[in-house]
Amino acid sequence: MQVSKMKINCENLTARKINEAIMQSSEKIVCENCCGQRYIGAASSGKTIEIEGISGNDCGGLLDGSTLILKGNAQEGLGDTMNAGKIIVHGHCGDICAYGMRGGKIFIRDYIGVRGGIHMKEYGDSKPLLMIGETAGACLGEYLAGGTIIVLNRRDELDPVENVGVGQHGGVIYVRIASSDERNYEDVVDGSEIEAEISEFCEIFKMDKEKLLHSKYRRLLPETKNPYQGYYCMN
Amino acid sequence: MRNIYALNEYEVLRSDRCDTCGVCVKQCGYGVHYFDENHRLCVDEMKCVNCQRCVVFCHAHALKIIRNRNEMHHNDYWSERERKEIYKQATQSGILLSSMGSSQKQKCYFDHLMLNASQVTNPSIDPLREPMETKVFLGKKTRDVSRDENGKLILKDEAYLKLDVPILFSAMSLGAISYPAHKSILEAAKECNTYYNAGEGGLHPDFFKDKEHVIVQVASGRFGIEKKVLDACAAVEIKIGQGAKPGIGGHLPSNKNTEIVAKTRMIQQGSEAISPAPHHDIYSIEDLHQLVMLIKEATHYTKPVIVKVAAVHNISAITSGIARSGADIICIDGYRGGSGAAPTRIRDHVGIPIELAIASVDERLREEGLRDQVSLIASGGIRNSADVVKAIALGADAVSIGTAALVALGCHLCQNCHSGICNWGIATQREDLCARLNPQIGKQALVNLIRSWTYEIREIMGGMGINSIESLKGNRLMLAAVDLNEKECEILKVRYAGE
Repeated sequence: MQVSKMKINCENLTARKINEAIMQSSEKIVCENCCGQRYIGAASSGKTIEIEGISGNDCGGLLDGSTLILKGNAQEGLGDTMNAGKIIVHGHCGDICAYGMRGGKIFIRDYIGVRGGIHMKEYGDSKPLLMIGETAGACLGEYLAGGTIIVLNRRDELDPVENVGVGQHGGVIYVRIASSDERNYEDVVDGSEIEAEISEFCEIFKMDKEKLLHSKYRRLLPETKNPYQGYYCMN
Repeated sequence: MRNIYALNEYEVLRSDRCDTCGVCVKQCGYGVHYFDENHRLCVDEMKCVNCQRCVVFCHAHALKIIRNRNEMHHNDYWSERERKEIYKQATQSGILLSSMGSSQKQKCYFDHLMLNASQVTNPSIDPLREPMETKVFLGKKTRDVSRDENGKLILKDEAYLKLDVPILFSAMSLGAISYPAHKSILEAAKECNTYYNAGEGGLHPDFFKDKEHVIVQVASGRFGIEKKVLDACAAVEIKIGQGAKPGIGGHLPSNKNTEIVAKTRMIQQGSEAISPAPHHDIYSIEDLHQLVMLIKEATHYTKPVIVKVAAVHNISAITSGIARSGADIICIDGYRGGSGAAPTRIRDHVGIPIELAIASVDERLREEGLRDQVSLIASGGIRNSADVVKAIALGADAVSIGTAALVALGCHLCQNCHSGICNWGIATQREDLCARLNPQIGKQALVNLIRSWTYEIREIMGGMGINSIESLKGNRLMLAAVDLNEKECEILKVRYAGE
């Protein structure tokens, strides 16, 4: 049953059946009528999967190279331990997205819930990217060990993130500063440093990139490579 | 601040048999033995950790290491150890860091349980003449029997592990222990038809081809976990906790993150490798279920999922939850379990004994009708074959051994793994030290150990009149308590000796 763009009607299928169908399908797949099934596209590679309706938790978990395009919102655990590939969300996303992500890119048009991008890390050439159009909930980028997190703050919120980058020991986080925000921040750069990422984001979601490029961003880098110096005493 | 109160823990005694050949100088990675500018052989006792390497390698048998005979003012309450640890923290400041399992003198329940043997009735079995089954299957047991139209059984096995002996090797990461130590354990697991557990530091690519004998671990740091690795194993273990340090995460310092470790963990060389205390995607049994099912989905339901937890106060309720999460096997690690580095206070004071944990878990799962839905692996301080038999009689399906395996590889329990210097080539990443452990010899030592224990287990079972591990499992009648109180017997579900 190989067709160029295979359609899977997910209405009465279990997650297992959907993933079996994805495995047996051609490269381009449309999952229609999703209603909360989990693990869609989990650990898959080499596919482009459009997801219509509502995808469930752990969508794209352990993703290994496929491209997932979510036409709706994403739930919890998006791209858990993702290794490679791309996830695009035309909407917002729940908690714990990109946990332990090692490679690939995640683009979320709107906002994300709490605990986004925890313990993202990089290895060799693979540097993960998590890009959020609006705001992020608490604990974004906790334990960040590598990769890049960008919060575009498109709605110009005064505090688009909270408790960001606790325990960060690698990687970099950029948070766009609202135009009305007059506070002084330690490390501020303009959008040109992340022009490639902003351009890709705006192209995907058909947005104007000029404003974002000419904005100011807080840049968060790890304070030290060895955050545990002086924490231990050899016994 | 320099610790001016620090004394040498050990005295290095050199007899006149010494011919100053200098082997001790070469063998000591700590620099205890050295030649001074006049080529005199000298000793810096402050550096000695009593790993016994120089003693074993001294061909003249000229060396002895003893505890420092100096005595601090005697006080039964404020022991020397307590005072020395205060001096350390007062001068250097920080969390006290130790290695291996708790060395504290606490009650060991294995030592208070006596094994049964047949006399007159129900005769004992001679394992040299009669078949003895030591095979164990770990995983969910099929509940319902169904037949097709011809009356033939429909076999729909869940994914399971098959072991020739009821002993697995515990999870120890590459980082905590060396590559040759990993290689030795994997090769031994292949020969003994059991399993090697790669630990939370990922699976080295050299070991991908031996997937039938490999268990990989998914811990909170998610190190080295990708589809390729999940495909290269027989089972996947989700590590929630570890007996040596329940409730806290792990931390591999940047100096131990060498090229080989970084490659296996799939992180940047020289960076800190931090495992957060919790999995941030697991805050409930439902969340655990989600991760268990994600792993099953990613491996197409071909592999059993193990969930490893430390034995803590509410362990029976915790395992009851895990049994409902879809996990196939639960590994419970008692407080005597080892570690490459753990805060001293947590290692010595957090958790509960494995004997009590396994007995109460087995009981709870039976009460709730869940016991056949999960297998139990007991670990944390299993020292010999009698401990294996007792753990199984208390309700485990199998045990896993870590410290015992390392001792077989030459570890002398100096408990200094956190220094990264191991003269036996086990708990180190230093190339010159790693080269000291020959994986061929290491493998043979482990195979010998497992074989010896298996012979002993068969003898013990034969004596009981039991001919399979399956009939020993949870068989409390084979145990009798000595010097335990009523409450202890009640939790262990063991009758008092002579009762």
